[in-house]
Amino acid sequence: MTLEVIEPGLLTLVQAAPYRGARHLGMPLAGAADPLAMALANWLTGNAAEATALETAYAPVVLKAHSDIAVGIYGAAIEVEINIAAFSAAQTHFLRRGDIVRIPPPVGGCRTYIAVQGGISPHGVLKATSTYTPARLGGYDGTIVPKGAVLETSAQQLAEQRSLPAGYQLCYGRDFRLRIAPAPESAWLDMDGLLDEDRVIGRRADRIGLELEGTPLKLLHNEHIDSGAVFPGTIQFPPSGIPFLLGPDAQTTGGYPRIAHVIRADRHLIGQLRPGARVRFQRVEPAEAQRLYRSKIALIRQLQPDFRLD
Amino acid sequence: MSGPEKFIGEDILVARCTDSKLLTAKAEYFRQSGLWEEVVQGIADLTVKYDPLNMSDAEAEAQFHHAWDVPTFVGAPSGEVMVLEASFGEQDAPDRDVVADRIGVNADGLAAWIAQRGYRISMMGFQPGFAYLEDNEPDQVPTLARLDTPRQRVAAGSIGFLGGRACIYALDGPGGWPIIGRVHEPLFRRDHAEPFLLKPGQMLRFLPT
Repeated sequence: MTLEVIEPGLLTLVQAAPYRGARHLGMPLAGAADPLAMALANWLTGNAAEATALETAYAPVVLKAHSDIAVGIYGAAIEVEINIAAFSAAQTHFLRRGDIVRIPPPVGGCRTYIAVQGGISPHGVLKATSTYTPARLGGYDGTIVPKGAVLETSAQQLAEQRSLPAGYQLCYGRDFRLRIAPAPESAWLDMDGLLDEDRVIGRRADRIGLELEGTPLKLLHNEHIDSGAVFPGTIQFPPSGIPFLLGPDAQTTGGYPRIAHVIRADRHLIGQLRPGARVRFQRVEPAEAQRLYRSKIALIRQLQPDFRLD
Repeated sequence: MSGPEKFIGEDILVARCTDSKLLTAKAEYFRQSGLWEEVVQGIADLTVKYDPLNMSDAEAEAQFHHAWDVPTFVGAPSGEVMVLEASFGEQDAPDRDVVADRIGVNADGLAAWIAQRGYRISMMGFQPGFAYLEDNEPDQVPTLARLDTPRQRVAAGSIGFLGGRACIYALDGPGGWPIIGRVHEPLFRRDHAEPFLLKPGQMLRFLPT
C-alpha cells in the first residue's frame, strides 16, 4: 500500500521513536517534535505510539492514496479535507485508491502528524526511521520528504474506525504556557524577568531550537562555563540576552548558562511553537513537575500503552 | 567526592569533577548500571537523565550518590591506542602554515610532529561522532586561538587544533577551529550497525599518509 506526496509543504519529515541513550556520543534525540500528537495520530490507525509517521509543519500538505488505506492525521490541524470535503481530524480516515487528502495550514500550533495503518516503511539504505537532517540520518534518505515521494506501508487489512475521546483532543493555539524547573545556572538570572512577560518565538525557530524574543534579560552573575550536557527543553542564555529554547534536534553539549528547563510533561509542546507564538513561562518545583509528568503519562497510556515522553 | 550538586528540570542530575579520566570511568560505571536514560560527560562534569516513572527524585539522588561514591579504578581507558590515518597535505589543512609556525616546525614537518603526539577523547558532543581530544602532555604544546571568523563549511574528518586540545569534525558543517589535517575513516557511519567510530576515553594517535 502506498501514499504519494503531491505537495510536501515546507518541512515534512519521516519521524518515529527518538534516538535514546546516545547523547554521550554526540547523537541528538531527534524523533517526533510533538510525540503526544504523533502517538494520538498513530492511535487513530491502531498503530503503536512511536510507529513511523510523517511530521508536517507550517504549510499545507497534499497526499494521494494509491490503494485503500487507513490514516490518522492529528496535531495542529483540526480539520482535514478529503476530495474537498472537510472532516474532523480526531477520527480515522479510510482513503480509497485515488483519494486526495489535504492538510490545511495550522491556525494554532505548528505540527501535524500523518500516521498510516501499519506505519511507514523506511526508505533507502538506512535502517533508522527517525530523520535527523544534519547527519542525513534516517527517514526518507535522511532529508525532507520531497514532492512526488512515494511512501510504502506494511498494512494488511483496514483498521477499525476510531474517534479520539473528548479528554484526548488537542487544541493548540498561538499562546502557550510552558512550565519550567530550575537549571544549573538559574541563580545567575533574576527569574522574574523571564516569568513576568510573554516571550515571542522569533524567526530563528527550527527543530534545533527557538529564540524567545522580548526584553533582553540580564544576568546577576556571569562566569566562564566548561561545556556540559544540554537537552531538549534546556533554556540557554547566549550573550545577546535573548534566551534560546532547545528542541529535539539540539546538540548534546553547550557552553552557555542554562537558566531554566522546560518540565518533561510540557516538552512535547516545543514542537508546536512557531514564529510569532507567545509563550508564558511558569515556575514549578521539581516534585510537582514529576507529578505532572506521571499523570500525563498515565492518562495517555490508557489509550496508547507504550506512550513515552523524553 | 560528593555530588550531585545540581538539578536540571526534574529528571536530570549534575556533579562536577575536574579529572577527565575519572569522569570517563565514572560515566562508564553509571552507563553499565542501566538506571539512567542518558549519561553525558562534559569537560568538568557528569550529567545523568532519568525517568521519574522509574525513580523518585529522592531515589535518583540516592542512586547517584551511591554510584558516584564507589571507588573507581582509572586504568588505561579502552586499552588500546587507536591509530587514525590522516592526510596533512595542504588541501586538507588550510591552517597548516599558521599552526606549524606557532608550534615551531616547518609546514611539511607538522605531520611528523603530530604523529609523535598522543591524544585522549575527553568528551563527545556538538555533532554525532564529534570528538574533543586532549593531548597527553598538553602543557608542552603552545596554545592557539579559534579562527576570528568560523568557516561556513569544514569537511567531515577535519582535525581542529588549539594546541593542547584538538577535535575531529564528524560531519560537514560550520566550524571555528584551525584545521591541520583530515582523518580518512568516517567518524559517523550512518548506514552502519555501530555508527560511532569513537567513544569518550579512547586513546588516539594520528598516522600521516
